[in-house]
Amino acid sequence: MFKISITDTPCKRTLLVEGKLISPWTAELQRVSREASHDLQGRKLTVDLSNVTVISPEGEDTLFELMREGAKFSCGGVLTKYVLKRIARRSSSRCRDILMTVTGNCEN
Amino acid sequence: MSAISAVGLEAPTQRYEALLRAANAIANCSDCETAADVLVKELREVIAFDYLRIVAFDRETNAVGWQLLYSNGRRKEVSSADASLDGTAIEWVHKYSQLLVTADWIEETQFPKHAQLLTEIGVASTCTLPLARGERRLGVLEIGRTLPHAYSAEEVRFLSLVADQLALAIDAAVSSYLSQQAQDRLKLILDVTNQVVSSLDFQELLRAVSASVRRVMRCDAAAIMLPESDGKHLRVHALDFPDSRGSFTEKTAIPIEGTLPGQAFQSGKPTVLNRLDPTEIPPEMYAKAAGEGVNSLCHMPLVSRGRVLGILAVAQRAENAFDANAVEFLSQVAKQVAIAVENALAYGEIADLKDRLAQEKLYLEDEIRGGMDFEGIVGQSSALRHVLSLVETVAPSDSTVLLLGETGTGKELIASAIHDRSRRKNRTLVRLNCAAIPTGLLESELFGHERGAFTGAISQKVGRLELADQGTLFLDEVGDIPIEIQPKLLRALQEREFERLGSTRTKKVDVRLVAATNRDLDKMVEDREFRSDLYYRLNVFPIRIPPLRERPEDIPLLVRYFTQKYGRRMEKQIESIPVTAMKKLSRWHWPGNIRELENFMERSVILTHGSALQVPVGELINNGRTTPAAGTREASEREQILRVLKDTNGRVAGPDGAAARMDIKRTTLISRMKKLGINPRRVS
Repeated sequence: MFKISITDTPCKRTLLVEGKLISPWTAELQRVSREASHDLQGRKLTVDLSNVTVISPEGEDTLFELMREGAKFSCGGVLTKYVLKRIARRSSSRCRDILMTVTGNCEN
Repeated sequence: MSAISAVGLEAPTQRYEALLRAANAIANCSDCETAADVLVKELREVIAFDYLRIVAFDRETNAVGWQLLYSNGRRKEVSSADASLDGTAIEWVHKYSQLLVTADWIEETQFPKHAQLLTEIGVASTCTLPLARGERRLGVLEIGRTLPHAYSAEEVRFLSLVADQLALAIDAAVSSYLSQQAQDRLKLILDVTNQVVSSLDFQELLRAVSASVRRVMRCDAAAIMLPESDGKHLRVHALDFPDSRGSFTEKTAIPIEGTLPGQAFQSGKPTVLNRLDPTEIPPEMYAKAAGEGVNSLCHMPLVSRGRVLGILAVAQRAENAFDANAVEFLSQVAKQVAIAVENALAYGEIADLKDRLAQEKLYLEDEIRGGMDFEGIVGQSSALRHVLSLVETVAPSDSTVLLLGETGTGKELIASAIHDRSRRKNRTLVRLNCAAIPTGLLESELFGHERGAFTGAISQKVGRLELADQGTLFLDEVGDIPIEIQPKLLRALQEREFERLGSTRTKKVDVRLVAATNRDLDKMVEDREFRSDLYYRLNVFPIRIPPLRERPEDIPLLVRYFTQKYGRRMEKQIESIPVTAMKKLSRWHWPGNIRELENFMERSVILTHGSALQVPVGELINNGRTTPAAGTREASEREQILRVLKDTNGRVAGPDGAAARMDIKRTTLISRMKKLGINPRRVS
C-alpha cells in the first residue's frame, strides 16, 4: 500500500508519504513531487516520511534525487532516520539544509 | 322445403371435370380460406349461385372457428349479428349432420332468424350441406340463389360431392394447423431448453424465455415474476408485451396476498382466468388488466425440486384463451423455465462468491507479501548481496532451488523473493513445512486425498502440490520428509504427475519447487536417511544463506529495522539506540540468527519507556552463553573470505574478484587477508 497526500500552508507544501516506498510507487513519488514543485511560489517543499514503513534501494535513489533538488525531509523512527542520513551523506553538499524534525539524537 | 328446382344446369361431365379440378387445386392449398376461394371459382363455372357460406367449427369446443360469406359475386365480412348461428339452419345441419334443401325461404317458418337474414339479401332458395369426415363434423356449406326452387336432385347430389371435397380440404388444413402448432410448441420447449443451457445472464435469459412463450402461445403478453426478499411481493423481472398501454412494466411489484399470481405462488398450482371478473381479482389489478384490455390470464408456478421459484404469467385480450390443453402445455414450459431460473440464480450466487474469493485472495496475497517481499530482506553485507544476486539469476528460470542455511536465516523470505521475481509471480506460492506436519499426514497434505481414502478422510482434500499448480511450492525443512514418501515426491517432481491418496486418476501439475533445509543433506544421503536420487533432483541450484554471524555488518541495520517495526506496532516513539547497546548487539554471535535477533528486539521495544531503546544486554551475557570472542569473530571473517576466494578461484581484484564480490576495496581485503594469514594462491 502506498499513499501520498499534499497539504499547503503559506510557507510550505508538504508531501505526506505513507506505506512502502518501493518500485513501482517510487515513480509515483517522482511524478507527484515534480508536479508539486511547479507552483511553489517561493515556498519550501517538504517530504514527510514519518509513516513510511519500507524504503527500497529504488526508494533511496528517489529520495536522493529529491534531496538534490532541494526538498526538505521530516521523519520518525530509527531506521528511516538512518536511511535519510545515509542518503544525506551521498548528497553531502546539501546535507546541512536537510530538515530533520525528529526528537533525540542518533548515536549510530 | 324439399322442393328442388332445376335452374342453370350444365352438362354433368363438365361439372365432374370442374369438381376434379377443384379437388386437385384444393389438395395444394395449405389453409381453409384459400381452399374455399379455389372452390368458389371452380363452382361458378358449373353451377349457378348468388350466395355461398362456409362455416368451420372448432374440433374441441364446437364453437365457430372461422366462416366465409360470398354474396352478389363478392366475398363479404361476416357481421357480428350474422356470426351467431343459434337457431339457424346451419346450426341444425351441423348438429344433425343432415342435408337440408330449402325451396323458398319466404314460406319457411322453422328458422325465422335465418329466413330473415337470407330474405334481406334476396336469397330465395338454399341447399345446406354438412361438412364431415367420417364421424368428425367439421362445418357446414350453404349455397343459395335468388330464385325459389333453384336446386334439382341432380344438383344436390353434385353439391354433396363438392361438400365432401371441401370437408377434405378443411380437415387437411386443420390437421396442418394443429401439426404446425404442435411443432411450434415443441420448438418452444427446445428454445427454452437451449436458452437454459446457453444463457447465464439472468435478465437476458428471462426476457428471451418470455418472448418465446408469448410468440408460440400467440398471447398478447408473457412475464416472469420472482419473489422479493420481503416475502410479500412478486416482482416482474421480464415482460414481453409489445402492445402494452403501460399499466404493467418490468419491476412492477404485485402483492402475494389476494392476487392470482400470489395464489399460484403460494399453492404451487396454476391459476386461470378466462374472463375478466371484478369479483375474482383485487380492484387495483382489475383496473390495470381492464386498462390493457386483457381478458384471459394464466399464472403457472415455476417449481423446481419442490420449491416454487416464481411465476410464469401469460395474458390474452380475447376471452377463453386458456383451455386445458394450453394449461397443460404451459405447465411443461414452466418446468423448463424453472430449471432456467434455478440455474441462473445458482450462477449468480457462484459468480458473487467467485468475485468475493478473488477479492479475498488479492487481499491475502497483499497481506502475505507485506512482510515477505524483497524489501523485507534487510542488509547490505556482501554475503547477503551475493545471495540476492543468485536469487536474481535463478528466479526467472523454472529450475528447482535448494536453500541451505541455519535456522532463522530467512530461507522463507528468499523463497518468496524467488517466487516474486519469477514468471509465476501472479500465481500462488504454497508453503509447506515438512517438519511441522505429522509423518502420517504429510503424504495426504502433499498429494491430497479422496473421500474415504483412510479413516478420517470424511471429505475430499486438494493437496499442496495441486494447489501450487502453475505456481511455486516451497517445501521447508525438506530434510525431514520421511524416506517412504520420498519416491512419490521424486516422481511428482520428475514426471509432474501424481495421484491423490485413494484415487487411481493421475493428475498433471506444473509446479516450480523451492526447497529448504538446515540439515546436512550430503551426510543424510551417506547415512541413507535421504534418497540420493531425490537429493540430486533437489540440488539443481543450491543457495547457501549465510548465518548472521557471517555478516555482522548487517546487525545495526536489522536492529534499527526491528526497532522501528515493533515501535510502530506498539505505538512507541523510539528515536535512538544507545551506542553501547548497539556494540553489544553487534558482537553477539546470534545462534538463532535473525529470528533470535527479531525476538530479542521485540522484547527490547516492550521494555522501553521513553525515546531511547532499552536493550536487556545482560541477557546476552547471563544466559549461560558466552559473547563471541574476538577470535570467533575473526574465524567467521576468515571463513567468509576463504569461501569467496574459493568461488573466485583466488582472484582478489577485478570485476569478478573477491573484493568486488564482498563490496569492499581491494586494498582493504588484502590488508584483512594479511591480518588473518590467508594466502589466495593456496585457496585457488
